[in-house]
Amino acid sequence: MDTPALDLSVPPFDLLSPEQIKRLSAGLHLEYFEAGQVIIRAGDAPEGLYIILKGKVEEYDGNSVQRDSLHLVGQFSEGDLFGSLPVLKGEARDQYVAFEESICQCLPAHLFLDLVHENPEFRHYFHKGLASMSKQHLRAQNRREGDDFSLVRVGESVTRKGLVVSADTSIRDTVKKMRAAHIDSALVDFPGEAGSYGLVTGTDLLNATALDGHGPDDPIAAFTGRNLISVDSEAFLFEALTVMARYHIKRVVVKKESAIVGVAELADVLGFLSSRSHSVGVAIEKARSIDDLMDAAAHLNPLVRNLVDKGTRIRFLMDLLTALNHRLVAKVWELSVSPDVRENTALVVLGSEGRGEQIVRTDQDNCLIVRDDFVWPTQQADCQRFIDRLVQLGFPPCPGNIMVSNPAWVQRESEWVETIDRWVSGLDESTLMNLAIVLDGHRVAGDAKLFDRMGRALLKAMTASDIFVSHFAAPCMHFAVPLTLFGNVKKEQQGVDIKKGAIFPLVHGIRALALKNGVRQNNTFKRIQGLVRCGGIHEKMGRNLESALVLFSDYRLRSHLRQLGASTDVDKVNNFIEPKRLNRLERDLLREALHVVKEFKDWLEGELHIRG
Amino acid sequence: MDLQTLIYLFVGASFALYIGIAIWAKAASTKDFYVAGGGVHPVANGMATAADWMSAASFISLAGIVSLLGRDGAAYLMGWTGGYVLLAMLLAPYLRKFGKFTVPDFVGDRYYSDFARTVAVICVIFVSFTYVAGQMRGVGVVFSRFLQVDVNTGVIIGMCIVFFYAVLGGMKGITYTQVAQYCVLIVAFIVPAVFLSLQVTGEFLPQIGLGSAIAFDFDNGVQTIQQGTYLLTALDQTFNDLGFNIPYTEGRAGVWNTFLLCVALMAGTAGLPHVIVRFFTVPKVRDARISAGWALLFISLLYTSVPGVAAFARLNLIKNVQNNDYATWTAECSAEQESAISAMMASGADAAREPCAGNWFATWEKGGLIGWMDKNGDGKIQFANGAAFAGKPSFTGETGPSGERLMSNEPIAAPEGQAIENELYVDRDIIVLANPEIARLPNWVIALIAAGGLAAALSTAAGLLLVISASISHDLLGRVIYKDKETGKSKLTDSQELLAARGAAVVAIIVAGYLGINPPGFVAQVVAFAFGLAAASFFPVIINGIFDKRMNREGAIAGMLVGLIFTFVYIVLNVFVDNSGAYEMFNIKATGVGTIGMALHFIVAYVVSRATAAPPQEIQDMVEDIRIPRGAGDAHAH
Repeated sequence: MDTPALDLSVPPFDLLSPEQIKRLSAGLHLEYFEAGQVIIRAGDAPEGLYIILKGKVEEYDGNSVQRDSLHLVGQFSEGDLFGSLPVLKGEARDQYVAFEESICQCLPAHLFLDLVHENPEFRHYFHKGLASMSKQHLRAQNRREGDDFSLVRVGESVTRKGLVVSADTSIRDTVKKMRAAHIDSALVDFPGEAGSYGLVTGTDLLNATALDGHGPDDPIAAFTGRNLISVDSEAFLFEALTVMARYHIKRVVVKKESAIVGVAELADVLGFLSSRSHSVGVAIEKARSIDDLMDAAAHLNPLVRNLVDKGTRIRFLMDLLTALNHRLVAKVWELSVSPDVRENTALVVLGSEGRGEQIVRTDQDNCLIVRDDFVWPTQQADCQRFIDRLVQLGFPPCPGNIMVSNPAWVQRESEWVETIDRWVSGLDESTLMNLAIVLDGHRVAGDAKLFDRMGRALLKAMTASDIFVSHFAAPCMHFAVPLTLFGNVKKEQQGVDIKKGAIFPLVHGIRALALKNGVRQNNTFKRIQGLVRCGGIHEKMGRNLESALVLFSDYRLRSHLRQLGASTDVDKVNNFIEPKRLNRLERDLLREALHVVKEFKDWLEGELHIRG
Repeated sequence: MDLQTLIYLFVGASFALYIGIAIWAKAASTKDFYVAGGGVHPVANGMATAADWMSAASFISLAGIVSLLGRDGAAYLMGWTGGYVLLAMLLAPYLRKFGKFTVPDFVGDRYYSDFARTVAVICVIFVSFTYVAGQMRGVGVVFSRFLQVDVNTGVIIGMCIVFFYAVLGGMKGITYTQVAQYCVLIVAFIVPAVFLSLQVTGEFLPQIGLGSAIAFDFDNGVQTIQQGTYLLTALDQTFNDLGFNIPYTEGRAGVWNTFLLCVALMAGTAGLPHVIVRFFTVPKVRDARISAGWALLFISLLYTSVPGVAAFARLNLIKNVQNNDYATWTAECSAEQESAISAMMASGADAAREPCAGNWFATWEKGGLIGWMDKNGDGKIQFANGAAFAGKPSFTGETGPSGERLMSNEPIAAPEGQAIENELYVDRDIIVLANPEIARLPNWVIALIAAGGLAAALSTAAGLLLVISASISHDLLGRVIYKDKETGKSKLTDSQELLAARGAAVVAIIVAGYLGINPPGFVAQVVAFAFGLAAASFFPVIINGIFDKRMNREGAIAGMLVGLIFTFVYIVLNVFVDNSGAYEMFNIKATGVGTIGMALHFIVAYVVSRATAAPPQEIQDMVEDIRIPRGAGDAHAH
């Protein structure tokens, strides 16, 4: 039979030792499938994994096969490998069907498992590869497996619909109602004060009767706690947990857009406690010293790797890591300076950290706003200590020295306003970048009002002139999208610089558009949503840009993790994506996403009057 | 290498240069993420501005108009140069501070009215259309010579080239392409100018040559003017001899009309949308000012050469054409004749009247841009005052006894008492392009000028098409017709907007092409109309917006409408309906009527604004603010 041979010099087989290759070659056998023939049946233990030599294979969601409404989740063609997930799991969730007459090499399951077991690099490849077969695949996976616990939001998991009782209810009736509802707390409605609630717990009732001498017919109003601690229903579970730890309480009120939707109990939250992100969050919160924080921070990168391997969606990862990093920075700040410094300043993280789009910590940018009349003799020493500690915790120092240890980035409120005006009127290389990263700023600690005032001054200065916005946006056009004249991904020696060619123009273009349209968000995804809402960009383009950014971030993250795998030296981490490491589907997706960026740039050029 | 090959080579090389630069600029990756303004040097930006500024009208037609009108043509020179200064000093700094890119955006915001914005958009589109039409005619003339086709075919080819260049190629607004275009056009203009100056007066600089004496005895057909006579004296004498009633150095339009034209050109130029944008492309105010200064220098290089070139051209035309035997002079050169001419030229002798030296005449005749009607049947060309025949040449397809292309036009007799009867038709737009050929300059100089003419037309046409397509797709469709009532933004998707922009550019090119084939005047005059409309609409509305804080929405709209409608109607009546002057009021020529429109605009706007409510306080504060220099650290007032 005339079939092309299997190239064993390409990934992942290049990770195998010569001896392993030999065993692999000996174990391989050819199989032939007719169009429509099922190769791996959903629910069965597969015979092995397959590499397509000729033909096409389609993957259908297993549930959809049962329901008889086929849902395509993946497609494989010549050179692609499929079936590794079912082999690793011992059971196929999806059904793999030959789309056309196909010839495959079959690698028997036992041999594959042996190789995976023996060779960690080989194993790692399959972990990562599995996580990112395609966007659809990813989404399907997420749906099936249920989100990782660490990513569960308070609102969708542990929130119980609170029991609401009136403030004039007696203790006896309250206890009866709590029993009936199997709940240990009740929201107390104070009549005549619309929207004002208190909280009473079983312990409160016990204390009231047993210790404070209240009778069972007394109304509960007298001892109902009115000072409610709440979390947003969109908060991560670990955030609820940290709030409880901070206030030493066992339950928090859950709010959605300032309306109470229920109560989250510590016991329920703890029930979910199985993933390390919680422990990291709690450890950060409970830390009393830098050493404690070191322990907590050490878990961050492994946590990322773990989550990536599990196929966690990048948006969740970003939100999660941002929340953890911001807490970490705030905690270091708390441990580094005295309370009066914290009250009279606002600590702001800038750039990608501020936007909440940094997953692997590649550098740190931060600045400090100081109240005009605050006397702070130990400023330099305090700030230096803070930065030293951040570096210790694995936040690499900023190569451009945009850190509070640099006095230029610690200014009084009125000085900041002047500085911003100066930057705006004397636009050049450095001021452009400064404005861009400050625009992404997010306050992690200190006085919210200080930060808010600076934010408003910044917007006022930057939106006064369309001409300024145009010059501000111009760097979007400095780098060509790495597409050839014929619309294919450029093949360059080093690979594709995904930051220059795709992420930067997208993020900066959206930043400038948000500025022009008065969208006050600092996260690119939120900016896109805000722009779509206000008509600043069309809905379809917004959707495409979001997917494209997710894809780029995903590819870049995997590349970063691979590069970090060998060493911890972040200086060596670059932004090149090598198309040869991507499978066919991934390459196609990359090309589509790059086209989205190209179209966006073309449109932006006219929209913001950018000229070269 | 023969002339035609050289022309292909030069035009091809210049195109390759622009495209190469565009590709390089698109693909070039800067090392750093944030570099303001792409790091364009003010000198480069000055050149780019000059290229935007100097259109086909400046390059091809300006010297032609001066050559034909004599002193009257100076109004164009002064008006355009003055307009640039006005724009750079009086408008651009304030508009920049106002922070809006386009005149409609300025008008819309300053006069807090979408209606005012819409009127301004319509003005922009109208003015730009007219201006593009002027460019298309220029492109057509160049292609007609370059490909030796009829001028109308030339316009159509030009339309295609401009379409691919500006619309599909995305060449718009790349600074370095425009720098290259400036370099090509200025070299293409100055080199022949220097050659001509040396040939006619022996002076190197055309600016000095204009005031110098002629270097040869000049036979104008009636008498021979001695070597050493001043160039302008020689021309005046010749005009007198050939029946041109008024000497070259005297105007016939009169002070009043010259003044009006000059003011209309100045004010109109200052309001031209595609040049205003150029002042905003530099991020720093300081650099923008330096660029504007450089641009003025680069523009003046060409403009100060124009009077010299115009005079040399007029003299050369008469000297080299008068009383030549058509058959022998315009014949195809044999190899011996070719080498004989080359030898004469090499020894410094004047070979322009030798047999076959006038072969250029036959070439231009093919394009219908020059024609000879042998009215007295002597087989020789006579050139004098008055039209040789009615209208543009309409060739019958037959050739006459001397081999000339016969025309069906009605001959016109020379006025009583004129020594020579005119037999020659010369399209006024070919003066600059044909000048080096008439003077028998080396072939590469002639090829160069074709490349220069194209550079001038393309750079301006590309900028204008960009303005037109953006105005239609973004301002008119997006902000007026398809405006979302809730968000105030456009309901068009990005791809619909892009499609609309391209569609608008296509329509613009087609309309411009039509006007290029059937021009209402010659290039510079067509352009003058665009300027007249701009003078009557934009200039006053911008000036009032900046300097009169009491000016309100009602005044601005009334002013724009009155100025625009008055000027438009006057031009249409006097140019398109009847160009004999029957509809002229107070003997005002259509070209200068923009000034009257502008005055009406100012008056109407003032009266209406004072009779209606003052603009909101915030607008008044804003107007105060844009005239106050903003120091570091000052709070922004809006």
